[in-house]
Amino acid sequence: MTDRAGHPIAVWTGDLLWPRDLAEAPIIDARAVTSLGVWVHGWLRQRPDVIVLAGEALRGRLAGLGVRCYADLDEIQHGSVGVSASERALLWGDA
Amino acid sequence: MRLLIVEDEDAIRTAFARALATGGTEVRTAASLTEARQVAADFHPEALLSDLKLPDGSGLDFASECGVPFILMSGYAAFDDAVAALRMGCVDFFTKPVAIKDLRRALERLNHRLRSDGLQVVEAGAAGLVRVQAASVGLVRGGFTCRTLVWADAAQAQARYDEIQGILPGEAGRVVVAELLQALPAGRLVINRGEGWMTLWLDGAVDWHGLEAERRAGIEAAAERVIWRGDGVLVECSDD
Repeated sequence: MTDRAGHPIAVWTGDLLWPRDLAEAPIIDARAVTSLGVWVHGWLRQRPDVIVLAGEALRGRLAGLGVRCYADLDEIQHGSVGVSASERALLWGDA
Repeated sequence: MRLLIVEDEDAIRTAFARALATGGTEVRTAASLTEARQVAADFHPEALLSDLKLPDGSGLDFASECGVPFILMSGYAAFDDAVAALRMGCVDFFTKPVAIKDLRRALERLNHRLRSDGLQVVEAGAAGLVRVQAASVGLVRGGFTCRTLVWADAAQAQARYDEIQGILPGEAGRVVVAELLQALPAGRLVINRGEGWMTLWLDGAVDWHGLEAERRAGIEAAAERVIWRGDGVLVECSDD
């Protein structure tokens, strides 16, 4: 699956409360995720350039971690830098 | 009564299983603690007969994990071992070789305790939670369900989570239980589940301000109330 620009999209669904293998792509469609465990924070931290599509509650939570989040594909602005690498490191507590 | 026998010597294990599977007692066996935990996950024993020293650990430690009445046996028992076992609630302690008739008498006493004992209050101070002594599943007096989840590694933690899916009150409950089970590599989680509410006690010291700070935030976001203590954490959830 890809967006209109041809960027691959990985779709996550259901309950992700326990560590498991996750599909990877530059864009993650997590709009069908019902529960997200804290373990996913580490997964996202290792992939700082990933973009996540999510519902409102999950967007709020992931945005607080420095993850680029959008409600749908049309909102994605490829190439723009929402959070710099140093700002992301500060948010993650890695600075 | 569901009886789990843990004994690494094949001949003894077989003989005990054959002799004790009478009068309504259902028996399962295991030759090691690893096997015993696998059997217990499905069988949910109400009582335990175990060797004290097993190839992969202590029968006394396993009995503590199970939280059911237990009898221990040992060919190498010292007085201190027997005292430690009895302090942990052991119904009886035998030095091998042990006669079948003595085991049967001990199991009769154990069965009597099983049928007459009810709830045991643990951590009655701040937590006030109840752990069922006689059984680990099922509805008990007071109209609420008690479960004690014990795990020794991540795989067991997830297995415990899968076992109790049916009693978790919605997404908030699932999030809280999953995060608590992942907060410690090995631990014990006591759950009291009633009409519209659930209270949990995670027994153990977690560095909630360090690596687990995000997990703490996740639990607080999902729960109604959380009390953080040095020796554990109390969490209250509702079905709303």
